[in-house]
Amino acid sequence: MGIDPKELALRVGVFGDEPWSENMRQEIQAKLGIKAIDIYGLSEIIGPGVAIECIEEQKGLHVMEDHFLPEIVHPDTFEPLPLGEKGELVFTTITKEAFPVIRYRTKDFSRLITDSCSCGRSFYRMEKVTGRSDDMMIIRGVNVFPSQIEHVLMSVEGVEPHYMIIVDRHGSLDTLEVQVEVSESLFSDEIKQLENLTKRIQTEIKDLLGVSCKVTLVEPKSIQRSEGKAQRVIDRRNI
Amino acid sequence: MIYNEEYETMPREALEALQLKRLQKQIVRVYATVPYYAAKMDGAGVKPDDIKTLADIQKLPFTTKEDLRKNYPFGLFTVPMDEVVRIHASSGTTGQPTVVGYTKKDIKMWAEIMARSLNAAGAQANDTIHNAYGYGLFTGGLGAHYGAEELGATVVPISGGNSKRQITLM
Repeated sequence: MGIDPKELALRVGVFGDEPWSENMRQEIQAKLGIKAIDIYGLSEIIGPGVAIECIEEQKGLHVMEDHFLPEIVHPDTFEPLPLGEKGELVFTTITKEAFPVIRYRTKDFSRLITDSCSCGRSFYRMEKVTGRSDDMMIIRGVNVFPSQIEHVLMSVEGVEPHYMIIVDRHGSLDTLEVQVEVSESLFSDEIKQLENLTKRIQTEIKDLLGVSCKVTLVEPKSIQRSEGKAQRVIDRRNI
Repeated sequence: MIYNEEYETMPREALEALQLKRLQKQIVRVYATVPYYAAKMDGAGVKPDDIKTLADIQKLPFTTKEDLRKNYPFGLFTVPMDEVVRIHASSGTTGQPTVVGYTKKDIKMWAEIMARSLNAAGAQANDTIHNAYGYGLFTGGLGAHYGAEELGATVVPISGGNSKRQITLM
């Protein structure tokens, strides 16, 4: 449309509904010239507004603790974990009337931050949700979240925030393939350069997650777009 | 920018006392009004009176998506439907949708915490909020809308989709 995003009157964007990575934040902030704030909520608890990052720190989301009690439990044993440890987030709604929930297991992974915050709020913060147990893939015994792969992709120049993760099994070995769109300009570049990019992403994913994967660069706009929750994983294993 | 100083900056000790009071009241109410929750608590050998400290919450059984499914659609509501002023439903990507309900007071509380949230994110009464969350059964659109109005900002209820129109309005 020929509009420079920086000419828009946008100052702040509030983003929620599904996990998004820290590098995605950097990308949004740089491209739009805004502050990107994470908001948390789920309909079972009430909807958006259960927790929010303050613009002062953008580091952890203050939980509205006068209405919702957060707990962190071990994702397998469901034993309560000491404050500060990472696990599954559980909420009890202490003021809700029509549809209260008692110790609702969200399947979201986070930890509670009890340090005081420069914004002045006394509410504990929950760390930005890095993944859901529903989204967690176990690849050759390693727990992998789509947001971790996104984090790597967003740190690489020339790739777009559109990707698909394909998990399959050959014999007894899990395979992981990441398809990611590259920018128009890069796609028309030399093959050698595309090969270098592929190798770089593979190395960085291996370094971060400890699993090797196949990276396939695809044409701009070739990965299907979704409304609402993005479909980012195809698991072809029959297990 | 803090929308509700009294609660959002409450010293921890006072906050935890308030949480305990509210938790106890809630557990008494839920036990008395929702047979399913009462049965689960009985099964775990815990009564509302056993909640004496905040840590006692750990005595209570968990609630999972499966519990909500079993009670579809209104089995876990604590009030008769004439007190319910709105329902929403989750997307149901992993099965049947989950239906949730709100009383008038719930809607008011939600608007307030959403106003607090927008305020924490830097929005004020003189701002315009372009609300691109989907309106409908999804909680995003109306949740953010009511919060923006509570804050006193100007809401543009654009909803999701149609990117070109979104950009034109911005």
